[in-house]
Amino acid sequence: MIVLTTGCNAIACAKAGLLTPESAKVYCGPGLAEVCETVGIPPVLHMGSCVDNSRILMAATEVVKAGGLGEDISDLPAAGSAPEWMSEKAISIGHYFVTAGVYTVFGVTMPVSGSPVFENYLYNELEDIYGGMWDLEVDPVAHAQKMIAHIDKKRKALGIDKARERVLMDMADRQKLEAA
Amino acid sequence: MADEVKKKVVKKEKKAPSPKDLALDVASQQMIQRSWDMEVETIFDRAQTMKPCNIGAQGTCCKNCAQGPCRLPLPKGGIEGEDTRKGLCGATAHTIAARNFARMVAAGAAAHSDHGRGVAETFLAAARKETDDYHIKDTKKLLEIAPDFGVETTVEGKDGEILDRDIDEIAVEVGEIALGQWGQQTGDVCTVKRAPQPRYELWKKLGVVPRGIDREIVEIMHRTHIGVDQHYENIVEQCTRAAIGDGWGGSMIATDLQDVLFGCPYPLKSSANLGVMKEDHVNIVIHGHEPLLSEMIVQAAELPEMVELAKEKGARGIQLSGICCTANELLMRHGVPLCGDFLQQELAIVTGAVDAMVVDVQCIMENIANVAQCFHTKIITTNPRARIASGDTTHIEFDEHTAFEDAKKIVRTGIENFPNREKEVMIPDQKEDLIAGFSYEAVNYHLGGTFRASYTPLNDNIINGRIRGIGGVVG
Repeated sequence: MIVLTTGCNAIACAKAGLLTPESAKVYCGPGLAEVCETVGIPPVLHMGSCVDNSRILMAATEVVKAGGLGEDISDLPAAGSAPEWMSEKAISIGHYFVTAGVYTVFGVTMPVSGSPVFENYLYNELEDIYGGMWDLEVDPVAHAQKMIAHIDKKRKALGIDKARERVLMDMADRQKLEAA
Repeated sequence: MADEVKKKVVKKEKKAPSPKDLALDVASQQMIQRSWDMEVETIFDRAQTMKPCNIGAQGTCCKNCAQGPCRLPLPKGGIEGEDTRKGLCGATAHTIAARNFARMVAAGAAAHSDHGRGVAETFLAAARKETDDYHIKDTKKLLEIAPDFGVETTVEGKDGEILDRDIDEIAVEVGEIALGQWGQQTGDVCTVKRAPQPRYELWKKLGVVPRGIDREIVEIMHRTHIGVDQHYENIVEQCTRAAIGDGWGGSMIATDLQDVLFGCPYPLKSSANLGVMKEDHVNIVIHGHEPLLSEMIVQAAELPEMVELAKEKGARGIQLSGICCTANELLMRHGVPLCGDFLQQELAIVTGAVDAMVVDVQCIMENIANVAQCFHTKIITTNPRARIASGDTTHIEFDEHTAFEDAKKIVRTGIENFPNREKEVMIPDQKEDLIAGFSYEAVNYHLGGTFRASYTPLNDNIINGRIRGIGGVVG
């Protein structure tokens, strides 16, 4: 999973050494590691300050436009996260991610637990309206797993959930394809 | 019996935490220990004694009128059957939680968008050439964004030929229309149309496209006043307008115009953590969120006269570094290293190496002023919106018309404070290399190259499964 990051989370990733192209080999699966090495990018891309979350929205929009992954941001195999949020700004960011169609998980706490009805509205019902919703997961591993599960769900909906054999094609194979 | 009592007592005694229990980062651990040795209080100490209010943490404390505050905690084990909790006015826990949530959205959107407004004002001053300190730098990006603001980039010549329009004219018009998005009362905030077509149409259908950036924030404050909007779904709908007005409006315009003024970021190398400070240099730490003043500080710190002054005062040079998002802004465009994140702002001062900490707006802990008093560090506030009553701070107000002069004054204050270091300096060794500067334009270029810049290679790799998906991790 390639990560786009901003703000204090970007600083935390930097301190953990995740913003170097070399870190891909250490922490990523073979597929992402190969892409990072080929393109020469880190697996975690620092996109700027917190107003620069707009760059993440634009990147998501570009991915939709590039084609093959659905018609809208809510179709993309993508998820949002604020694992150690603390400011009110994060709530505004979370809500514009959700209403853009992104499943968005917050960590630490969410001051809505006193109202199970409202909590359910944010954590479930919003998905029917916007294709994105809020969630809370305090445990960091379970937090990441929830994002991955959502991404897998979207991959399945797009029909790209099956592993594909990588076939080396020569000219004769291509001609056969074209003839067919 | 006696043994049992003893056991209970032992159980009650809380084990004092070690720095390792409080932070994963080794540099932070060292500075927490040092703060204890020097008896300097930081957030890590306060977090031990100040526990969150249970009702506030649940979002069900309402203090929006003077009949309360009304407290509606959820009983342990939840509620069986009908939820009959009500405030004095009859507001349910759902209404109260939604109101509190909405006011957080309003504050967050206001913070981002007021930042954006400041950028738009400076941009317009630069476009109109009312200031010598700021210029339209990235004309390529200006031409790219102009159509989104409905600004023509070409004009028809005498013989009907298409000519490039004057760049200054374009800049002024973009600036005026951009600034107008805050006070607009009807219609759509123009940059919202950048969303994918189906998304924009969904928002249109739901009626949540923001009319104006400020208007939607004000309406949240109105609706959450006592006795107004008492349906949580309707309150959330207004949150959506304000939040879209932030992400696809105020924040997006801030990013756009900052890129045009200071250059769109492209990948560059730098480093992060407290170890980026240098003992034998004047350390100026820039902290807060806006790049407007700090861009000038970068230029001022590079002036030969400033470097000369630093040497006169016994330093080998000037080391700039940053905390929070001002740091990220300067990192993205100049490679200025990251000194630390939000939780390290007090710890940076505990090193004893910070000669000046320059702050603008947002996420600045009031207590840095108290920590600074234990050292020689000068805290310089610069924004009329953000003053600090604690401690003894210096206020050098930033004005976009005299920005460079203000920045020079600030840098000079830092340099002149260098000889006042009294306590031993202790800078942790930790610093990590990093590559930053991935604007969405840079990602485009990286994936496809100059002539066929595109996101297609990313999509291909997601489709073929080499990349599972995309995570946007923020906060």
